[in-house]
Amino acid sequence: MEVLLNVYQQQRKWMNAILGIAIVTVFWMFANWQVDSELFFVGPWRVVTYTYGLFASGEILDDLRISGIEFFWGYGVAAVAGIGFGMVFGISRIFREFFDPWLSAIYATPSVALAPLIIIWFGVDLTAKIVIVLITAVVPIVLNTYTGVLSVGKEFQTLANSFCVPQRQVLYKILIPGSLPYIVTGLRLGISRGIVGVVVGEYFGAYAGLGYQLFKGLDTFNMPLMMSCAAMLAGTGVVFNQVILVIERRMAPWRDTQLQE
Amino acid sequence: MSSSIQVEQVHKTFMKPTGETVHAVGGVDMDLRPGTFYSFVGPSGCGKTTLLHMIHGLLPTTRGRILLDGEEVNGPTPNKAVVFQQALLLPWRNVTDNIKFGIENDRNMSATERLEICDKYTQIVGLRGFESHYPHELSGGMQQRVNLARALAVNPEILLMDEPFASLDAQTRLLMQEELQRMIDWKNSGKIVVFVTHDIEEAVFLSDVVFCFSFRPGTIMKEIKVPFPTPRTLRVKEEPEFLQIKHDIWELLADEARKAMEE
Repeated sequence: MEVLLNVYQQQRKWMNAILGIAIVTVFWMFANWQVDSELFFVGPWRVVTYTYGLFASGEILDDLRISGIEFFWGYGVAAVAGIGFGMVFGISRIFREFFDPWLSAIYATPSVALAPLIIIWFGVDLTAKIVIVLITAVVPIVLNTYTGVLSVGKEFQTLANSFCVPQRQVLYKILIPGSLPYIVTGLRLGISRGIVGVVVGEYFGAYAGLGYQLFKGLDTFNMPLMMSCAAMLAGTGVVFNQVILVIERRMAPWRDTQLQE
Repeated sequence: MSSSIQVEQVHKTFMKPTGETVHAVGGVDMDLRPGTFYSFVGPSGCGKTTLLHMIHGLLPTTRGRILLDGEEVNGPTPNKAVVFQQALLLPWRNVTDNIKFGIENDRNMSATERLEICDKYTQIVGLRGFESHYPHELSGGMQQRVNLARALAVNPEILLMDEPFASLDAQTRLLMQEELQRMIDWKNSGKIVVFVTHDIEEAVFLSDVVFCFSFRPGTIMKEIKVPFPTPRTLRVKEEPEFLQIKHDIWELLADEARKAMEE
């Protein structure tokens, strides 16, 4: 018993995560047992086997590829542009005062509202979806980078001045490392919003993609397909988030102990 | 290396956000000589830190001028360095890289020379073994040592210190006062040291000359020479002459401190 308790103490974080998944799974199985209609609900095991089937037959691979391209291009451009614009927002007061209202407006507008317009402007092919992912994902990245730059204390600017550090070096010696924690938060929020962008984009006319399959499932009363797509989308979000956290830990070793405390 | 500083009839007025003007410094004259440790003491809000910033060039004077070797100061230059009240270490840099901050742009120095300098001052401030530690892993006293080493690394002719020990606990503060004299070694290197504090005992203990400031607008009420040879040990603080000087300064400042408190 004592040995078990020790193992639990040491691996607490993982054990609790696994326990949490187990609890929800039990409820899920119970609900499935109550409903017992595949038109309406499917259990966890069915989702796993159905997803395996999709991979085994290879029919989902093309959808994964398409959604992947949409996400990576859209999110990639969003990350670069978002960090860049966020820096400009944070540094230039005049820019901030001019464009802050627009930023808030884009942030407040649901991507579902913009998607039809973008489809009309860019067509039903990949470009439109990439643009949708881009504009949904970019806003939290801009906002967080910009907040991050503002959070770097004025006293560090004074420090740089007093040691005669040229202004352009302040950008990469002070502002970028100082706002890194915020940038990472922005990138993580951008991932979830980008995935929403993929699904929304594929809702308005598509030939392939995870979102497309999900809505096809809706049209054909294929509940296992819908839940399998939803699970894959969720899993992708979790994995990408972890990737960003690992990158952060590599790039910012000074935050390591602070995070653990 | 020996610079001198002349402060001539310097005034500073500020505009508060409320629109009210504050006359912070009101006509200060001083002549600072190389190889001397000066302290500015006075009540809160007497403009001593403002004057320090003006000597550094971070703030312009409203009236009057400050000359460094005959040339008017109009901005920070590499021959001046500041030790800030808050350590202001970059959290993403370890001890060595923080100390390096001020010499990174010196083109006359190779990377190896920079590292040698960092190494030298790491040793002088007593942080050997902590080179790769990050600021959050250091105590307040150690952070101030890095702050000092960063300023010393640029080998400034003028070292400006803005209440560097204000945030330290009482014991650490005493030890730092004693060690500071060895770490700076201003007599041999011909540096001018300006040390702002409102701790009278600290000012007398460290300085060759103490400037006593009045409350706003800050003017110099008295310039007191401290006769004890340097480096001093903490035992000096118990000598009758030391106590007498401390007492005289307190007599002088008490009324001003009262004004500051009532403000």
